[in-house]
Parts: sequence; C-alpha cells; structure tokens
Amino acid sequence: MDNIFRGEGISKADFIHKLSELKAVLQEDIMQEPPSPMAIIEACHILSQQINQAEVIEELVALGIQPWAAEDYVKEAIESLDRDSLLKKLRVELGEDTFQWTTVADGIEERNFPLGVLIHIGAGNALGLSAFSVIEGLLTGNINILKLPEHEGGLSSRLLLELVKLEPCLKPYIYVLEVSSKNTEVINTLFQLANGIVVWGSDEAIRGIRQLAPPTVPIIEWGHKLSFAYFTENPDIEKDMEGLARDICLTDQLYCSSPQCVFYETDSKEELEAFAHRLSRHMAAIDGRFPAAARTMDIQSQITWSHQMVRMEALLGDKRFLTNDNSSFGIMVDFKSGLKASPLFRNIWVMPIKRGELFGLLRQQNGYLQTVGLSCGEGELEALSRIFYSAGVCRITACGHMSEKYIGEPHDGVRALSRYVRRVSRTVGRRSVPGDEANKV
Amino acid sequence: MEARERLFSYSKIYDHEGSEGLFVAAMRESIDHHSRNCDFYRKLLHDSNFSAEEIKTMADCKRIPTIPAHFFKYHEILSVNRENIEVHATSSGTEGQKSQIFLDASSLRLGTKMAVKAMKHHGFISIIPTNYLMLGYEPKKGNEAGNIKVALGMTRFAPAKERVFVLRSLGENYEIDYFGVMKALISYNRQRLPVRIMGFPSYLYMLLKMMKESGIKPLRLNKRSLVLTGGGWKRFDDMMIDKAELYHMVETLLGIPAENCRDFYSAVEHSVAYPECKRHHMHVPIWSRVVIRDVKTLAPLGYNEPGFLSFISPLVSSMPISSIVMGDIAVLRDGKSCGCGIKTPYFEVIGRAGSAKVRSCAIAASELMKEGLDG
Repeated sequence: MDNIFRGEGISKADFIHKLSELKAVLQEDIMQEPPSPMAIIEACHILSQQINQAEVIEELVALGIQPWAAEDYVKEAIESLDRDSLLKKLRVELGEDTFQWTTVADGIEERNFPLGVLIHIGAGNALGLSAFSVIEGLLTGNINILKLPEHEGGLSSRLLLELVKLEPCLKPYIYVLEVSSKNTEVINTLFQLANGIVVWGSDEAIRGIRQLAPPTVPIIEWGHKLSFAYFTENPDIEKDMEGLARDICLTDQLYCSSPQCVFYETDSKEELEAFAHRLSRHMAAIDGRFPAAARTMDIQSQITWSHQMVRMEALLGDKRFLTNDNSSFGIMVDFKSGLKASPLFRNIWVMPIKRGELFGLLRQQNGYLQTVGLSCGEGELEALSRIFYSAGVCRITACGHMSEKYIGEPHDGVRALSRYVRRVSRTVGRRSVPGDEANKV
Repeated sequence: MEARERLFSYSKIYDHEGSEGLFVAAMRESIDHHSRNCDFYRKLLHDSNFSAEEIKTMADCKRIPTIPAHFFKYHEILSVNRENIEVHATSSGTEGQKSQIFLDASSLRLGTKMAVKAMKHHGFISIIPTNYLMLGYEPKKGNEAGNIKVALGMTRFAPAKERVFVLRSLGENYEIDYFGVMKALISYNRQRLPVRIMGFPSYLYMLLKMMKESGIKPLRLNKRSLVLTGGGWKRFDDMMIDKAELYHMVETLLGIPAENCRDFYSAVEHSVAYPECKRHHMHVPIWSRVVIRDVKTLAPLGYNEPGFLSFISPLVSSMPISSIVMGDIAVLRDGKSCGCGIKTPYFEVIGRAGSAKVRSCAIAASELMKEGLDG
C-alpha cells in the first residue's frame, strides 16, 4: 500500500473515496501548532541511520543504475537527512530565528509562517526524491500532499511511513496519492485545497499544472535543466578534461547538473577537432575504469539513433563523431554551436564558441540553464562568470565537481524553504498615528 | 534499371521465393545507381567499405549500410537532378521538422503500379459507387502532406460518390467536424452504398467514442464497406487502444465486419505500403524486405526478436532510401503461422525508439527541440 492518508497507509481507491472529507480534516489540522522543526530533524536523523543501505542500493541497481552511482546516491541522501545538515539547511534558508517573531521596526514584528497545505507533484523518475520534497514541506510547518504518478510510490512512501513511525505527531502532515495527472477530477479537488503547489518535472508536467492550478495558488516549479562545460585553452586543461569525463561517466549525465554540451573557445575547425580527440582519450580511460551498466533497449535505441544521425551528418562535413569499438560513449562534434540536449548516457556534444557570441547563444535557452563546468585561465573567471550569470546560469563549478552539492545550497538559484513559507507581520502595542503629534506632551 | 522494372511487373506480389533473384539484382542496380548519382551516398558506401558489386544474395542486401529515416527530414539528398522531381510530399506532422520525399517519374510510376497491384490482391478495387469518409485533412492550397495525396489517390480504387473530411480547415487550423461527419454517416447509412473510411486510426477512435457516448443508434453500413487506417496515432498516443478493440467498435457501431478493417504501415521515407491481411498481419511484399536490427549494433536479428524496423527496397530512384532504418521498434514473425494464405513474414510495430522517459532531471532532447523521434 503505497498511498498514505493522514500518516496511515491506505489503498488508492480508499484515498479517493475519502477526498470528500479531506477538506474538513485539513481545516482542523491546519489550525494546530505544527511540530517543531527540531522534532522533525530528530526523526529524519534517526531515519537516516536506520535506512537499510544495501536494500536501497539493490533497488536502485534493479532500476538500471550502476552500483557505485547507487552507493553515492544513497550516501548523499543519508547525509542530507543528518541532524547537522538539516539544522544548517534550516538556518541558512530561513534564518536563525526560523519561526520566532522578530522586531523589524518600532512596534512591528515579522515571522515566517507556513503556507498551509502544499501539494507536491512528484516526478515519476526521481528515485525517492519526492520524499525529500515532503520533508522540506514538513520543516516549514506545512501539511503535505504528495501526488505521484501511478505505481511510483515505492521508495518515497516507505521513507515517509518510516518517518511517521519515528515521530507520530507528523501524521496529520503527510499524505501520498498515486494518481495519473490525467485524472483531472482528483487533481482539481486537491488543488482546491492547496495553498501552494510544488511541481517537479518536465515542461509538459509544469504546463499541465499551470493550466489546472487556481490563479490564487502559488506554483513553485522545479523544472528540468540543462548544464554544460566551457573550456578555454589554459594550463589546467588536461586535468579538467579528465574531470569532465568523470562528470559524464560517473553520473551517466542523469542529473540536471550533468553536462550535455562542451563549448571550446576557438574559431578553428582543426583546433576543435584536436580538442575533441583529447577529450575522447579521457573519456575512453574513465569509461574503461567505470564501465556502464547494460542499457535497456529503449535507452540503447535512442543512443544508437543519435549516433547514426551524427555519422550521416559527418559525411556531409557538418559534424564529426568519435567513439570507441564498443560505442560505449560518444563525442559528437558539431561545427555549428548551439545549446542542445544529448542522448545522455556518456554522449556529449562538442562545439566551438566565440566569446562575443556566447551571451546571445545562452540567452536562447535562458530558463533551462543550470550548471557550468568551467575550465579557464584565472584572469578570465570574472568576465566569464558575468556572462554566465547574466544569461541565466545558477552554478559555476570546476570540471569534475559539476554534480557535487553542499548543505544549504540554493536549488536552481532559489532557497527552497523560503518558497514554502510566507513572511507575516503584526503591529503590536499602540503606535502613534499621523495627526496625533499635536496631542503629544 | 532492368531488374527493378521486372520486379515491379512480377505478378505474384507475395512470392518471395520466386522473385528473390530479381529482388537481389534490382537492389544491386539501385545501390549502383545511388552511388553513381549521389555524392553523399558514394561517401557513405566508401566510409562503410561497401560496394554495389558485393550484392549477390539476400544476406548481402542486409549488409547494405543503413540510413536513419530522420536524416532526410533535415537534408535534401537526391540521386537525380532536381528538375526530374515530379512530387515532393511531406508527412502530416503538425510540429517540428516534417518528413519529406522527392519522387521522380520512374519511382512514381512503379509506386503506382505497386499500389494498384496491392489493392487488387486484397480485393479493394471495386466498380460500385462508394461514399468516402476521409479521416484526415481536407485538402487546401499549399498543403503538401503526403497522407492527403495518398488518401485522395486511394479514392480512385472505387468510384467516389461523396467525400467528406473529418478535419476541416478553419483559417490556419484544422478542426474535427463531428457534426458534419455524423450527418454524412447517417446519410451514407440511408443510401446503402458501400462506404470507405480511410485515414488516421486516432480520428476513427474519437469518432466512434463520441458515437458511443452520445448514444447514437448503431449504424448498419453496407457489409462491403471498408475501413483503411494508416499513419499511426501520432500525438494521440496516450489514447491509443488495441487494434482488436478498435475493430470491435467498428463492427458494433458501424456494422462493418472486422475482416474489412485493414490498417496500413506506411512511412513517407519508404513509400512501400504494408496493408493488413484479413487476419490483420502486415506481410512483406516482393518489393521490399523487412529487417529487424539490433538496437546497438544494427546487425540483422531473427524472427520474434525486437529491434529497429528497417526496410530494403529498390523502389525509389530519386533518393538513396534503398536501405533505411525507422524510429520504430518492431518484431518480424514467420508468415507461415498466419493462416491467411500469404506465406511471407509479417512485422508488428511494438513502440517508438527511445520513448520511455529517462529517470533523470536533466532536460531531454525531446523537450528542448520540441520534437521526439516521431514523424
């Protein structure tokens, strides 16, 4: 039973049956004082220590993820649930006095206050990530209804049920429903109860939610992103190319922070090809050390198809294609630059770029930009950073570290927790009003 | 190209055994023609270390380098002079880059011959006046979609009394004209003449669903009526239902026997059409061979193994599409098990290549480019 109603496991049918009473239940619960962040953090901390790592890793491997990547993923998940991490996250994102009234002017106080009911639209592809979205909602004192695609509850639901077991006072704050987004009747009912909608996923998913959401309910969108690497000729270039090859191979480019294109500053075709060959050598080495898991037919067909297209265009002189005997990676050189998505799984576009054209090129995909893995000379960092941030990029990292995170890191340029609260204020005591001056002694 | 002419004159359209020698010779001619007249193709053969002279058996035909069909969406690659092109047809896709084909006179002539023979073989040629319901776009100026041309051509196999289109043009857009269609169907029902319903299966389904939901009394159309669908479900993939279920709806709501419902596989870049037999299998005719290829190595696979759908055919001389890979995943089945009388293998499309959503938060090509592998 992967659905949860007010902290209790339930079937999908029963959940939908209970929708009619949900409004009254929520109204009752929303008036209560939410559990303190400390109680939630304590429960998460214990949960992180209880997670059966071997079991989760096995589950991820069964989904087609390489064991070392699964280990990394689980390790990172556990770290992010750790007491110190969550405390730091809370303080960085919401300030020291998280939910305390603080005086901001004479007789005026402000504090953070939960939005109320948050509906989380989880992506079907995110390996338990949705549970973390709910935990962010809990930390901010909200009641959380997680909507997942059908048959995707698994890991997220189990984590949340465990959490409730550890801290039963969280029960009224956790709901999970596995239902297709096409079931607009159910979705609309949920949205009528929402004070905020958190949506994870593709443009298509976000567009769908925007159409259904009432105009008065804020939508907090975490969309798919595009990241890339940028190289200028510099003393560290070989080391950075190796780092880039790691960024590509170790994640299979599955994160929004994984590179899909590499730009190399040059206006010479020959120089670009030489760069591609150098990168190809690093790719071959890393790919050899960390062989990819077997690809499903669906993924493999997409990769082969892209390779074939590039091979054909190479015959026309528009592109170049570099790979190994096993075609286990692909360097796709396009002499015409533009931001584009690769078929992932160790396939990357390599394109030339001129500094003067960089900004215009990036702006075209403004809303999608996330991370740049940058390899440049020391003196170039400032100028390049300005271009990248102005064009919409949120993170610049060294190559080899593109998908590393730090505690309290903004997500796509935003501190998530601050989106899940309102800043409320009150004027306390009697203040002087204009016109009262004359009566003053 | 002598063998090619003879292959398309061969009378038994499902006799692979008897025509194999002709087919191999026609393929040799075709590959030789493309390599002589198309720079791109010459480079491809050179790059793949392959030459036309090597083609001596059917196994050799399967070794001819393949080209992904999508390639021709983005590049105009011809094996004849542009002035020899008689027809430029595009796919019906509404978004993204459209598939396209350029046909010269000989490809058109042989293609027509082939279509007539196929229609005749399946008993679709009739002299009885027939009412048509076209499940597609109403023709208008500037619309070059291949499906419209094919569909209009198909109305010549039985004399057309009336023709009604499901998609009516409204300024820039097309809209489904349910009201007009229902009016026409009710009138066809009264007239008792055979009816032919042709076009996209998705529109047929929407129409039948609407009939069912609005409680319209089931029609009893002439038993010799035909339903010929093709072109796939396209952007209506999410409402796609099983073929058997669709044919059952046709039987109960329109009174046309399921045996008279035939789906076609066709692709703009391939030009050979594959109509279903009365047991609803798409057998391979003498003008082409279907090869299912490994999704990683593109090596030919045997029966019942899923892989890329690819076609080999000497039909088209104007573009080097004699060995082409489609973006479909399919399996090939031994035709002897069908039981319809046709013994050649048949294929079943089981999905699009690369259609599953990758478990990733990275943006996918399909989102960024606003088009997937369809078309």
